[in-house]
Parts: sequence; C-alpha cells; structure tokens
Amino acid sequence: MRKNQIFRYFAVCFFSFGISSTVFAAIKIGLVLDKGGKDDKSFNTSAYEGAKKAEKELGIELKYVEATDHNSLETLHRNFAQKKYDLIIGIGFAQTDAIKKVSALFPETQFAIVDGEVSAKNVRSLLFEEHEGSFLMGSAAAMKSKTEVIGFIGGMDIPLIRRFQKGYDAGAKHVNPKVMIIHNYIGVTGEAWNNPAKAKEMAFSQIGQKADVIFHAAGASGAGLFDAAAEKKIFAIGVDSNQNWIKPGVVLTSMLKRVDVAVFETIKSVTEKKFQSGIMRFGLKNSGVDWALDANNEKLWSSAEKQKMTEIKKQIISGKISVPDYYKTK
Amino acid sequence: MSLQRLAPWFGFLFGLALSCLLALFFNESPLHVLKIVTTSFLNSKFDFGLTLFYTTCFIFSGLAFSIPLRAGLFHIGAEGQLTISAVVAAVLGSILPTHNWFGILIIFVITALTGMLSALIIALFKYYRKAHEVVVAIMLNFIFAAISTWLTINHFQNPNSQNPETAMIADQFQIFKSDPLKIYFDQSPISLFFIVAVAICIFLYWLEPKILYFQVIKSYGANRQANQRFGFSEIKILATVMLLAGFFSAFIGLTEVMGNTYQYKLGFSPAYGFLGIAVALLARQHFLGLIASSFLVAILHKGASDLDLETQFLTRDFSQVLQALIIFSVAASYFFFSRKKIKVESEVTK
Repeated sequence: MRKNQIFRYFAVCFFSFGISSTVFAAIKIGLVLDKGGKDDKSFNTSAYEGAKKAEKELGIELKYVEATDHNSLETLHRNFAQKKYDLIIGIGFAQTDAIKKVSALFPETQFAIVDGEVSAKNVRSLLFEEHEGSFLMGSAAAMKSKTEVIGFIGGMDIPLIRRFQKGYDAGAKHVNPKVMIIHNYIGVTGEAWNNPAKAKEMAFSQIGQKADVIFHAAGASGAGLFDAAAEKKIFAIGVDSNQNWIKPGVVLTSMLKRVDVAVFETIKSVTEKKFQSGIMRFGLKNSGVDWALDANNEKLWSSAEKQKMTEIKKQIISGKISVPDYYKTK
Repeated sequence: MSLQRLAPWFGFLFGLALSCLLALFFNESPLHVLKIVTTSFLNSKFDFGLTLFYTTCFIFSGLAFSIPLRAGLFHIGAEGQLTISAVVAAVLGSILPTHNWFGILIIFVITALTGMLSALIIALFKYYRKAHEVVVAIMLNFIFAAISTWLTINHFQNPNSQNPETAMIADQFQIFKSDPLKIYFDQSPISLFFIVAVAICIFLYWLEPKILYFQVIKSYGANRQANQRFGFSEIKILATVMLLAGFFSAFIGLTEVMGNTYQYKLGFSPAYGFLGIAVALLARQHFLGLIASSFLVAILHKGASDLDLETQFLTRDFSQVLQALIIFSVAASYFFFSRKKIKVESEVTK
C-alpha cells in the first residue's frame, strides 16, 4: 500500500510535464481574484461560485488565481493572455489599471472586470448599483427597528463603502425620518476586511447605544457582527453573498450583489459567441442587486412587511424613489 | 571564504528543497515546482523587469534593516516609513507647480526627509524613553498607515477614480516613464532606481572600511557598555543609523511612485519592509551580498505568485509556506553553524 503510494508520487513527478502541455479544446476562462481570496464568504466567493457553475454547466475549462500584490496583477493577466485564454475575468476595482494595459496589448483576447470601468473594444465592465441594494437594506432595518436606532459597520473607509452607507441612510430615512443611524468603520488599513474581533466590539458598542438592527459592509469581518447579534438577540444584515444561513433567525436578510450571475452570464455569452464589450450595470432592475429571502429568514418577515419591501423595490426601479449615489454626489 | 559565511546559503537551498518536496503531498512534481519558482522570471522581458523591480525594493529594504542591525537595532519600521514616503511623493507630485525641473528635486528631497524623520522617531524613543525599538516601530507602522489612508481618502483622492488612490503625479514629473531600462524591459515596473540601488550598495561596500564611524556603530552593536565607556554619544549613533534606514525606506516609496505607478495606491507594498529582514539576514548584512540575496528573494517572490497559475493544486497560500520554510531554514542554519563555533571557543578557554 505504502509502496504503491510512493510509486504514485514518483509517477506524478515524471509525467506532470507531459500533462501540463496537453491541449484542451474547450473554451478557457481565466479568473483573477482579489486579494481576499476565494474563501472570503462574500465578494470573491460569489465570483468563484459563478465561475464554478459555468464550469459545471457549460463545460468550460476554468483556471483561477489569487493576486499577491498590485504588481503581480498585471503579470497574471498577461500570462493568461499569452496562454491564449478566451476570456479573462478580473474581480475587484484594484485590477482596473492592469486590465486597461493588458487588454490593449492583446486585442484578440476578451476581458471582463467586476467593479471597475475600462472602455476598450475587448473589455466588458460589470458594474453594480450597490446604493440601490443598500437603500433597500436601510428600509428593512428601519422597518424592523423597535428602538428607532440602527447601525452601520463599514470595513475600510473607502468610496465604495461610503456608497453603501449613503444608500443605507437614505433608505432608513425614507421609511422612518426619525430613525437614528450609528456609523462605524473598522479600520484604515487592509486589515479592516479581516478583523471580526473588532467588528464584534463595534457591534456591542452600537447595541449599547440601543441599536437593534445592524448592517455590515465589511467582508470577512462581518462574522463578528453576527456573533454579537446572536449574543444580544438583535438583528444583523449580511452583505454581498447570501449570508442568511450563517445565523438563521439572527440575520434579518442579506444584500445580494450577484457577482456570480454577472460572471456566469459573461462566460455564457462567450461560449455562445455573443460577447459584447461596454459597460453592463447590475441593479435592482435586472436582479444584479437584491435582498435575500429564503427558508432561514422567512419567519422573520410578516406578509405586510414583505409587501412593503417589494413596493419600495418597485418604486426604485420605476424611478419614483431616487437613491443618492456617493459616486456622483459627495 | 569560510564555510560559516556561506551558512545562510546552505539554509536557503535546504529550505527550497524541503518546500519542493512538500509539493509531493499535493500530487505535484517537485521538479515542476522548482522549475516554476526558479525560472518563471525568464518568461519574458516584462517578467524579468518585474523581478528587477522587486529586487530594487528588496535592496532598499534590506539596507534599511541591515544598517540599524550594525548598531544592534532590530528595525522593522521600514513598512511604515515607505508608506508615508510614498504618500508624500505622490501628493507633492500632484500639487507642485510643474514648470521647471526644480519640482523633481523638491519631491526627492522632501520624500527622503519624510522617511528620515519618521525613522528618527524610533531613535528618539529609544534614547529618551528607553523604549524598545521593535515595539515603537510596530506602533509607528500602524500610525503611518492610518495617516496615509486618511490623507489619501479625505484630501488627495484621485478624482477620476473610485479606487482608494491619490491623483496621478503631473506628466512633467513622470520622467522615469521613458527611461532606457523601462523601455528595454517592455514597460514593466522597473526603472533607473534599480541602477541607483545597486550603485548605493557598491558605494557603501567601498565606503565601509574607510569611515571610522562605521566601526563605532559596530562596536555599539557588539557591546554597548564598552562603547559608552569610550565616550561615544549614544544618541548620535542611534540617530545616524535610523536616519540612514529611513532614507533607504523612503527610496522604496520613490521607486513605486516616481518609477512605477505614478500615484500612491493603498496597499501597494507586499510587505517589502518585512521581506527586507529576510533579505538582510540571508546576506548577513554584507552590502554586496544584499544585491545577490535581493535578486534571489525577488525571483522567489515572482515565482511563488506564478505557482498559482502554473499548477493545478497549489495556491497562493502555498507560496507563503514556501517562503516561510526558506526563512526558517536560513535562521536555523545560523544555529547549526555557530553552535560548533561556540563549542570550539569554550574548549579553548578550558
């Protein structure tokens, strides 16, 4: 048995050179993830799941990588392009410059970027209207709050998270103009996305100030909020992927940012040879941004409240409610 | 050259072999892994240029670590100093009037001063408050990171982008955009700063035996009490080494801002300041050795990030395991080789 295993290792040793040069006929997709990595239970996970789904259903060949630093991003994109990948997807705003540069060098290869804007013939930019989703979350929080105090925990203080915050505030004020909103940001360095302990402390302090619904936009730090909410029996709201399952009964709902759908659709368009460049916006209108309602949080919502949420959603889509956008007005 | 001087290199090779063998557990061939890690920088001119860019940063951070170590200071504050310097360079580049070459000089001088002053804080705390340099440096690293983020987002945010980064420096200041090295290496991040880094190492190697004060610093590092007995000023020694260290840290910021991205991007440094420690230890603080060890660590840094792309099961995390194993082996090699020496010495005294 043991001998067999050792033999296998050696076999792998000698033959892997051969394997790596085998040619596949399937469409090749390269996925470059952000620094958080595929297991951040939020943004990158969502992108990874979309691509995995495409791998299963569309029979593509998928290769994903995670960046080590800003400078390595460009090399990763270049390497994918040099290996004649059909579509290369960059996840996260940090990759904007790399894609801008590499897409000009490889006009035959198709690129897509999530959260970044690149105008080139072979690049599709996938942008999300986060403020619309967080407006909905603000409404939900104000609706469910008994103390008329709600909280917001942001990860790092950057424009993207301010956009979440602004939408959230507007949504809460829309439902209940008297509501008080407490804002906290976890940190000023990249560590802020991965600091659940501090998120938990902040949640406790907000609860101390009578907040009874708290929304987080803090990546992996959000786990701390869920713990605090479960301990003090208040509601928490998740972000990016559906986080309702993490603490059923505590997580009121999650703001979905359907990166998986965007990624899947883009891959699909390539397999059907219908790839179009340009900017694609994902908002409430095309369910690119949405709120999560499933078996885990169904019981928390009465039918009247559900109806009110659908009503607000409809009004945003029809333009009756205009959601303030931090990117346009600061 | 005695065997002992080569000890870290033995440790290095041992660590590399060990981590490649580790790949067996993931059904990857160690030879394949070794091939990627050691030769991926030769893929294209661009890759080679990127590796030399990493080398540049590692040389500077290696210098920033090895000079204070001569005085017995374990300097881990380079990370904070390079961050604040990069911000200062980027901000100055975007607000200074652009009509003459004088602006570039001002950017260089003020950035270098920023690095030096931020490092000087450590020396002052050490001398006046008897605080340990490691603790002060850790806290300063955070403070500088926080100041940089605050300046970037609240005051000098790039108006054309939603990313957390400062505005581009003025076109007139982007003189390294068309320097011969960058053009030769296919617009990769490398710039003339590479030549500067190598020249500084050679210059310091030449200078070290000629300047008496270097020996004073070394004697302080070897035996503080004895040094004090000879009446050398402690604060002067501490200030000198920290100012030099800050000066070199500032050059990492300049390499990034003036020679690579022409702006400050939040989190641009993959911990150059800490990787510099490994670089300096690998070279045993030898100025010429720094060039070689920087190049080696740069190849590894580049190769490790390509592992993810080239293999089926190894991810980015494995590349960190690989780097850690190598650093451990290098550290262990000191122990193995110097233990023998201690034994010999104790026998002699008997």
